Amino acid sequence: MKINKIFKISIHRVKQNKKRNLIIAIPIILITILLLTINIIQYSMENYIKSLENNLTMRTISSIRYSVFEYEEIIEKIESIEHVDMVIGEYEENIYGYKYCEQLKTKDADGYVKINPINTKTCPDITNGRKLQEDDKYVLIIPSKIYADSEGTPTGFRDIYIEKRNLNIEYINGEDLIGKKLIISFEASNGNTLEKQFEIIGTYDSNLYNDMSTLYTPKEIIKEINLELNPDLLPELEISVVVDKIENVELVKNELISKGLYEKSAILQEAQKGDSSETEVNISRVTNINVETINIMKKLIIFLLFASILIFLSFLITTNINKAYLSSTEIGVLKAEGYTNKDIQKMTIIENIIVCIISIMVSFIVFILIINISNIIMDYIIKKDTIGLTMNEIREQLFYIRQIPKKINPLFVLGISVVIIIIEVINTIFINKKILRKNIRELLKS
Amino acid sequence: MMKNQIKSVLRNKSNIIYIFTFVILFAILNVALTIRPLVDQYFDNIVEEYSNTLQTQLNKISSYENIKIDELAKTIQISKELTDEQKTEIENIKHVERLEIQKIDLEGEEVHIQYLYLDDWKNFEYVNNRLDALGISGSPAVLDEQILESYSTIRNIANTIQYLLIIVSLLVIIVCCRNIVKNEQKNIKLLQIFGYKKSKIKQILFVEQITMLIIGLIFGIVLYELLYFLLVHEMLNISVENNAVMMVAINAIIILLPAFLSIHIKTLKS
Repeated sequence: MKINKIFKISIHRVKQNKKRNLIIAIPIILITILLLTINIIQYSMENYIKSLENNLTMRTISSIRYSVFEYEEIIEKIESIEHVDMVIGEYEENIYGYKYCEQLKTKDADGYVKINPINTKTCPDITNGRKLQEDDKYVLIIPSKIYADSEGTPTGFRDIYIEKRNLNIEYINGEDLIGKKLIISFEASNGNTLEKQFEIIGTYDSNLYNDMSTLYTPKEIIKEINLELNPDLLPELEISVVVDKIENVELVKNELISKGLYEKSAILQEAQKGDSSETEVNISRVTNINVETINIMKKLIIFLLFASILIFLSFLITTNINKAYLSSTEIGVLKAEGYTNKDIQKMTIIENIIVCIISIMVSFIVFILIINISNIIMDYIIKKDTIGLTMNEIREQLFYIRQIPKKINPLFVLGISVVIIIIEVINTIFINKKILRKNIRELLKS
Repeated sequence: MMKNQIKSVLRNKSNIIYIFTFVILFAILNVALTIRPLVDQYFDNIVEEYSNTLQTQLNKISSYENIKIDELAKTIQISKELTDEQKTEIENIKHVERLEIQKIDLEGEEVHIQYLYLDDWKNFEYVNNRLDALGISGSPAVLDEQILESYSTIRNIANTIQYLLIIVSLLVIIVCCRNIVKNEQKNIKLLQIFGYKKSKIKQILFVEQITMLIIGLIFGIVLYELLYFLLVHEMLNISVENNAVMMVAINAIIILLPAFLSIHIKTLKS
């Protein structure tokens, strides 16, 4: 029998058996929507993992004490260790005092920023502008969305609260400032003040780095400002090491210990006298927590995918078998009319493929509608009372769901469509084989 | 009676396939319900380990002898001076056990630090949100903010997965139950011919659905226990105390709701 005739009959059967086809259409719609939701969760988790991995603080081993007389020698030794991206001296780590920028002041933010050190290796990924170069001096890499928080409060928890309270917060677009000059005023605890002019050379993704108030400048500049601001500073006693990847922190720390370069801070040293076996609570423990968090998140993604695939397969197989049972009389009639087993097999496969394609298309439309309608409803509920947001757990949960970037990977869409069709075809072939083995009488009787 | 019902259910081959789906669904559903307590337990262990280590280390320094870290791990530190009104408002916040003010002599100057003791460290975010609404900023006294942030993120993900799987399981079971009732069309017609009232037929179908779902639940729980033992107990080495009441309630809803909905569809029309 010619394929176009089989195709025509299959289309006719799709139209004729609307109710029966719903048996397989509903699970496909449900599962496609579930898989698309999982894709969004996966995307948001991956973003969070990236923000953790990109965070310099999470990759920093601090409190490495050394003698002032062997500074150069120790720096050289540490720099030779594999995976070390940057070595920072005590006065290169942070500017001691307030950092204020009038140009970054908005109605919500009072213009105080945080300035962190970088070098060419640790420069954040740039969304606009250029990366840091060796000969750069007074330059800044700024967030793509700036919120110069009060007293340069660090990122993380605080930012979440700020966003929660002020959904209509006024941000400064960092990309508009590229190439422009920024004047930052510094004020030390001894009362000394200083003003410096920086050139903005690039922006990093504030969402990806979960940071809206940190500016990056070369580490040498931070030391220069510190010495200018506090001329009576004591010699440096501690250095920090920035590792290339979060998972290598433990490796580098062990290497530092084996080379005798890593000593615990004063309190820990005193506490651990006579008992060196105890675990220490310091930055590497916090880094471990992040590595563990990343691992848990990856496990949760795997569980979710595994669970949904299991639900999908069991549901699809069950409904397919159910549909096949219901169609057996019809298959008996087709056989009686003289159609061969091959023809019937082709007809049912084409019929199910058409149902699959229609169901997938319907599920995409339904999913887009669900997302848009839920966004409108959530915005309405959340924005209704911004102060009350923190008072209501449901509203708070809605806020978190609303915050998830809802981006679907087109490749994923194509992938799941192809996989669903392939599974459906394989499923149909196996179920039909069993039914087609029966003779016409048995089929008509069922 | 129950025995006959089970026999009648198992006689139909398509019912057995649906029971197989129910087994998988109930197993996944119960694993999903365990995720949140598992995350809580996991982070409890981290906080306990963190507190114990800090405690052991600080106990060895004479000036820190009196500090109890396990209690401080559940404490929010507020540096801002509070008014009496604010103190009352703070003490009325849910999960707050008490407010203590500590006086510290800082180079001759007396500084007041307020410590807010919570019932559980996991409620830090809740209390801090409410403090934020009052215009007061607090920070964890001992606990690292990174632990709290990690917990908050993982907890939100666990909640999302849990709700998502509950909704999906419920929808899938509803669809399955509808299909089962549709498959029974011939039998329903026969019963109507024999003079059975609609309400009686509904009861029969309801009991049949419940029987199938309970069989699915029993095997699902067995599969869940197996998965729990292999994945959680053996691989993660964590023992979790599940909220039994909540689990029973959700399982009961997921059994009763689809069974109830499925017998009220149009299939009962003569």
